[in-house]
Amino acid sequence: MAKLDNKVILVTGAGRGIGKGCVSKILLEGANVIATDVNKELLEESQREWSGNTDQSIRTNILDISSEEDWNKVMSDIEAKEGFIHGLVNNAGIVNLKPIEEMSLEEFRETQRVNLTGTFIGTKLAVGMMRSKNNAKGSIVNISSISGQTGTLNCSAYSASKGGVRMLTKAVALEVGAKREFIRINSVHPGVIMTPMQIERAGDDADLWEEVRKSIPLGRLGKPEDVASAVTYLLSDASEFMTGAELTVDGGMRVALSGTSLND
Amino acid sequence: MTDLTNKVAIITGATSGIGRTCCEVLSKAGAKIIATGRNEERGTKTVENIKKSGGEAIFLKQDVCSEQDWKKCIELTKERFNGLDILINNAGAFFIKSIEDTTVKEFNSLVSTNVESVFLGMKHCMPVMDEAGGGSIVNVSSLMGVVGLPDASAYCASKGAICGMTRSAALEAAMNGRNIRINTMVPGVIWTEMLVGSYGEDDSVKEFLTEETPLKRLGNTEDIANAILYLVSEESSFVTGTELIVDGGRGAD
Repeated sequence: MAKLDNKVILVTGAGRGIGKGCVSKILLEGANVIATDVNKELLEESQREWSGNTDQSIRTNILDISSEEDWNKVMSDIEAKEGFIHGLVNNAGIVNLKPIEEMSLEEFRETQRVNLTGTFIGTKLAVGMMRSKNNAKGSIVNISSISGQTGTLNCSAYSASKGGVRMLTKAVALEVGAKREFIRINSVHPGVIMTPMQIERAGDDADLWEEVRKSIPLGRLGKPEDVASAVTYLLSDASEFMTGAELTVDGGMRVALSGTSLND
Repeated sequence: MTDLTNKVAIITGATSGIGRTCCEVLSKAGAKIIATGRNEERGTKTVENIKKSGGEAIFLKQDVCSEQDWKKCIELTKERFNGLDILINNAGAFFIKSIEDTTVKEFNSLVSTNVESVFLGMKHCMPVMDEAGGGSIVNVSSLMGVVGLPDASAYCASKGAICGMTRSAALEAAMNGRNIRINTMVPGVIWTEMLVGSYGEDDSVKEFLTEETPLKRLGNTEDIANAILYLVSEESSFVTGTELIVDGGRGAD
């Protein structure tokens, strides 16, 4: 039996990178997926790939996670079509790396608005739907980052948003627990994962990525599949005693001080 | 479905609780099991259960604090299974006593059982894993290695030591293309023989602990074995040096 047989899972930021990898893996594990992204073209392109590779149901919705109105539309649509969700992967996010003096207040707010507020709205609506339509059961996985656990250079806005996601997750875990509900909520903390967002941020200079590779204890860059496997474990019943916790997927990067000579 | 076919796993403390269930879950996924522990009768029972379900397993009487016993364990593993891919350092002990009442001897004895055992296990198993091109080690700590519990100074110290040692070992085991992953498993309150031994079958303790856990139940050994299965499988091939907390949300409070 596959790990997610017959579950209904909603994934945000699914058009590319980690989100796209999550959708592919979740379909493979037997679930039906509602994949959302703010970018229509990316979503349509990915949808064609998924549809050609699965017998599971996969449909898409446009969603800007920072818009409560967009979220309400997506949830009403789910209520009408699937009726409920078992799981939500709050994956969509943006990154803006700059020294603090060069970071404008608008840029800082934009990062919080998408990464933190977007995750807040998704979590709030998913808890509501799981409560009313799925006997107060379900699993929410919030994609944070190792930058939400430890310091990263030039990362004030992103770190603040991802640290926020980490603690939002724990707060909600206690809240639903106090109501004796079985909605689990955990965060995943990826390290350096090779995605289009990483390349947009840092460029595609091979020497640079070789340096990054060497700085990762396991000596390789992460893949979206690495994160997707962790997400699958957290969505599945195998983790049914896990809530308010963190799963780091970083090749060991977080525990090594930068500059530690690891791979020569 | 997680597949561990042809993988060889040593699991310590396999005579009861988390260790025994871990043997069963890893065996079900296809691994060959070397179950170790001090109690021969209960260890044999662990192995018999696995064989009945069609798995392959042997029991070895082992004191995890004895370096000699670890050498024997490695010899037997090589001889019977020709290599090693997985090590679960699960054996451990627990007692409740205030810091003033705990003698140095008692403190050292618990640290030896809980920490030296993990050190010796990693030290002797890593070279064998290198021969197989890599492997995965899971060291079983406790939520009490991350937060505090009154009257448990020796236990908290020993379980905290496992977390620190694992971080260091994980880096050594990954450097320069060496392909061994090492992670810490952090269980919350799992109602096993170890706890019954300290608290007795006391329903009021159970009720209190259940109520204090956000998911409103105590953990069972399957919860931990399933997490360990993830940590030893290919699915977690980019995960090392980390702590996986499975505690029903108790530590988030």
